[in-house]
Amino acid sequence: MKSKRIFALVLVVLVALASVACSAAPAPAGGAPAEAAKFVGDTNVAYNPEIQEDGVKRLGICYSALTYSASQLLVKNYEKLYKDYGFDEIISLSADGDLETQISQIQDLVNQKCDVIVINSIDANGIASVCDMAMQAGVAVMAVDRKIGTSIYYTLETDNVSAGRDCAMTVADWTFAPGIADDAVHVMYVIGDMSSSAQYDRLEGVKGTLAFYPWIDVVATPSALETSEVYDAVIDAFTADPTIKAVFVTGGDDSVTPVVSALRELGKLYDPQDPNYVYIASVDGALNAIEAIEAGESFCTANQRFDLFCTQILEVAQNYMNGEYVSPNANTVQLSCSMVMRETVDNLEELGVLWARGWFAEAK
Amino acid sequence: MRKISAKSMSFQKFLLNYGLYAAMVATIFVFAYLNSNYLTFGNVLNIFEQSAYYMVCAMGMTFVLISKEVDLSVGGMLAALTVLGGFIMKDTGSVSKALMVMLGAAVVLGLFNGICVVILKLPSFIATIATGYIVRGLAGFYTDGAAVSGFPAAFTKFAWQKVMGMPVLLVIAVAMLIITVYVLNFTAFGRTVFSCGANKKATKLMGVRINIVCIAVFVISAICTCVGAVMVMTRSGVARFSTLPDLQMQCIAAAVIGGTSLTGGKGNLVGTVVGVLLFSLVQSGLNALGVLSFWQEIFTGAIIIMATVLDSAKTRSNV
Repeated sequence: MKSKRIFALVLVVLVALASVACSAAPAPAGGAPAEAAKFVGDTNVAYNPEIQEDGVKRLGICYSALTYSASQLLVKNYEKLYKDYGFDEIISLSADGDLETQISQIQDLVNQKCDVIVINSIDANGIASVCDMAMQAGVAVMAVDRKIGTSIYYTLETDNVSAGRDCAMTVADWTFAPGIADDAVHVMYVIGDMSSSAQYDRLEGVKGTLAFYPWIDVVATPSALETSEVYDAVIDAFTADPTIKAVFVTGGDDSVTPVVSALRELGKLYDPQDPNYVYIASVDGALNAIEAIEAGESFCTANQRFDLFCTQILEVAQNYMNGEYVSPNANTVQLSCSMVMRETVDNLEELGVLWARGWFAEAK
Repeated sequence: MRKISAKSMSFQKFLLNYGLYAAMVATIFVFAYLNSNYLTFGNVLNIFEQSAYYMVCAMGMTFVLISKEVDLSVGGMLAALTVLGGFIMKDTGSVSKALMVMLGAAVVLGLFNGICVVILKLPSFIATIATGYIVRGLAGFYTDGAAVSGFPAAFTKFAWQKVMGMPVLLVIAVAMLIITVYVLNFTAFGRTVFSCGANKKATKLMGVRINIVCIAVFVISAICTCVGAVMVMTRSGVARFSTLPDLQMQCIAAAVIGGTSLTGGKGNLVGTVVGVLLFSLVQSGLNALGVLSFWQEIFTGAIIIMATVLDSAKTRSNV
């Protein structure tokens, strides 16, 4: 009984102390100033001298995961080039695919007084609130490769709908036509993480385009969140329907290798001239996919511009720091893809478009 | 418990008794030295707020560990509850309805875990792993892998509100701590939890219905998980079936670091919360230094080993 009274007394004292402490506490660092209506230029970034005038130009990178070669190279290039674009410090973090971790990391970057935070979101809507908080705290938030579901300073992404559409058209137009096959042509998708806006858009592009080819039937749409699941998904699909003619890999080029392995295991890895050839179409332009295309194992990949994701983002960030602001009406840029096929790979490499074989890949 | 007087306390005994708190203070000092923005009021509040859901789930886990069981369904249950609540909120627009259904589902899952252990005599390790897989799989099936969003704006803004300058999620975590400390340390039920963990047979011979106690701790863990799920949902504004896959192991780690014994009969909720804070302080400090997450995992593992060694040494020295 006595201990209960002591417990209650301690509780009351703690609550009283907390109330006094909170009322006396200074405003949190990075919080929006009293004149909340002030913004940086004509942007939607709040004016906060604690962050914007502390004399240190700090760049924050918060990437969804570094399990993919393009992601690793992109972050490495940010770390290599940030000083060239006028920044004094860089803090680069990876959330390992965990949304809660990414939210916490963004908060940490705000508290570390980053002037600009570049985010590759795990979930566009999941980090919307924390990005709002960051913008209100005076941090310019920029999205790379994947959208964020709120109004931020700048977004640079691939036109993934177009990428999916190009993949579908390349396979459908170049290979299948009415009258060639007596029966419908069977194809499959391998779907990645649907909470990613990029993945969602690619799939929409593929599906929407294939709908215009009535002789093409989609017979399997397995989800494979990890590359280790892709192999099994393809084996299962072909076991159920050995007549599948094309595999659309919408999750990214890291899934191409297990698809090729699965087809090899099934004895379905034919020469491109063979009428039984199975077409693999993917998105990204990674080295494994390009090499598979050159070897005749894969058919095409939509090459994204990860090199521009690096330089353009850094340039926009540098301009922001120098007072050249992007207007909220023109702050979303979509980059188009080039189709890499056996016929086009040399030409594209000469043009310097292939990130997997240019200066961008030298940051390893 | 034998109290140690200041006169007889040696450094070794100090380390064994207060090593966790010393580690926390040392962590703060090291990171504050390495990063000038670490020990600011905003950042400290941030750390507390980020770890609120983790604290609440770890509190529930502490009850289970004290009773000499384990609940490995926490992560899967949290994900499934967020998906369930997310669907209801999205379809009906009613936050209260979603919360009530989530709570009801949590109680049912807790009862299921308890019944599997008590009536079906399954080891809690197996029963709860299975529950976790089943509910997470169901959540994935019904969402097709996509995130559930479109919650009422008031709900998604709730996590970012402040009460007397304190983040509202932290206030909820503190309230949960007060309630759980009261239940564990100041009620007869709490004493039976310790007693069950220390010696189930003797407790049963004393006339305590240990089956009820065992089921109750799983229900408490599930309710704490439900509160954690609400916190996660309001912070992120989405529900994902794949969220927090390792939460249960992190909760166990925090509880063990805080002084809860894996062999049952011993535990300390305040210690668990301090354990959570230690992990969060380390994580925030490493984030501030730009250390990649791979190293963070290494540090986390090292902390767990050190804490377990300390706990083992403490048990051997009968402190």
